[in-house]
Amino acid sequence: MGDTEDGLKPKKLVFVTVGTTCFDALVRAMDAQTVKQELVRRGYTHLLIQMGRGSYFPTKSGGGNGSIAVDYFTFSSSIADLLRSASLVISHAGSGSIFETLRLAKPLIVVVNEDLMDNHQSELAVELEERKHLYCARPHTLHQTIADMNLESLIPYSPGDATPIAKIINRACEKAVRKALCKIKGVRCVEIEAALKKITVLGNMDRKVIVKAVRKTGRRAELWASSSSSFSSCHCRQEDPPSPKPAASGFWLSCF
Amino acid sequence: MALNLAISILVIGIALTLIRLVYVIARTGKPLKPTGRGASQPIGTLIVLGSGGHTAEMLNLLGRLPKDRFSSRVYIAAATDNMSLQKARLFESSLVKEAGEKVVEASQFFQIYRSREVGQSYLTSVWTTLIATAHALWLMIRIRPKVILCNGPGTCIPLCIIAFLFKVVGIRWSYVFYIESIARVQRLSLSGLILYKLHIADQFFVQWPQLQRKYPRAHYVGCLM
Repeated sequence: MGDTEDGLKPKKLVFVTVGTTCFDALVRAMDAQTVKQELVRRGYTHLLIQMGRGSYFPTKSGGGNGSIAVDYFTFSSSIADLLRSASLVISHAGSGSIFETLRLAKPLIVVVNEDLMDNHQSELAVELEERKHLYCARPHTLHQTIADMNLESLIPYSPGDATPIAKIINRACEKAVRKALCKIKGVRCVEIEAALKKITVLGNMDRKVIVKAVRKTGRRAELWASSSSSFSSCHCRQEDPPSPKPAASGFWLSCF
Repeated sequence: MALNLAISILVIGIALTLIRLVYVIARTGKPLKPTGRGASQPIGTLIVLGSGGHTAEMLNLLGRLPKDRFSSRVYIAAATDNMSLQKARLFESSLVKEAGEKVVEASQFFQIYRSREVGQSYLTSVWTTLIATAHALWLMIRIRPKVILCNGPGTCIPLCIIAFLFKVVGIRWSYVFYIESIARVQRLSLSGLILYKLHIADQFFVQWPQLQRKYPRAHYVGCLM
């Protein structure tokens, strides 16, 4: 609201990015009068195009008189700042640009490059459009999308999480160790806390045998505690006869 | 007589190779085999990076993995791709900062010839894949990783196939985790398809439920990004 000098509206920036690719069709589409008029009608005042390796240069313009100010550059290391300052982002369909924009919760139109050979990129854009996180367009339908879009209906994207997959990747080790330990006579329960790298073994057995068994699987283990406390979850055989005095032993485990 | 002997040796050789092959495929995806030795040496993790979002996804995943468990990390990216290794170096140095005084194992960075550029035709990519494979073989002999993490760039194909051959020959039993890129919603990438169909990937992850329905051996783990 501060820069309303000369009756100018506050700056509303449209940032166009093609990433590291060459996407002249998009730059050309942005340069078209129909698209610019549509952007002006929507209240945008500035258009900044990151054109990458493309060879088509849009016409620069200072704006004013109801037209939009146009500027361009090829590459920049401060894309993130530009994304942050934009009111609308128009991007190529690369997953990097898409998720960077979605994380900043900026309205996004993804334009699919129809010239690519194996056009798998549209898959992601179409799927995310179905989930109403963004709008998906083609270079020749861009002005239509800008005219029809309703930015309020977009649903903010909640970032994904790599924790579940990291857990599964960890578990491959866990399984092997558990299997090896459960085979030992006298072992009743094996509890593995992957995060703490801790195994607790319940049963009547020689501690050295446990360490040896873990070592046999290619990992290392060393004893850290020994007590006679019991714990809830059991992962080994169920049908073992109750032993008179099961002892729990803990081991540090180094996996993989 | 000598011919007979040669033929029978050949037949036995082929039969043994086939049996070994079947055994390796059957064991793929099962928990790591006991190795006996190797308990004391550091265990290498090979991370295959690639432009076009692959690196960002991979580093995102690495951030969630226990770093001390997957120690002595080796990063590989295509020779034409300068950004990925740079990002990986940044990631590693941020880890060093986080760890503070603790000594962090040196991570290594390699570049590899690419098997197929974006937009290159499948026909010419046969030849470039051969060259890339030879280079990959040299690197794999040097690295001999225990765990391989890859998420789709074409460079991972030669590496994973070599890892598989290492298993068959008995040089190194490695574990291949393949995480299909988030950009793949309906169809697997060529790399993913090869690793899935040939049973090379021990664990196969996809980020969209549609793919899991089509490829039942894959795990659906939700979006990584």
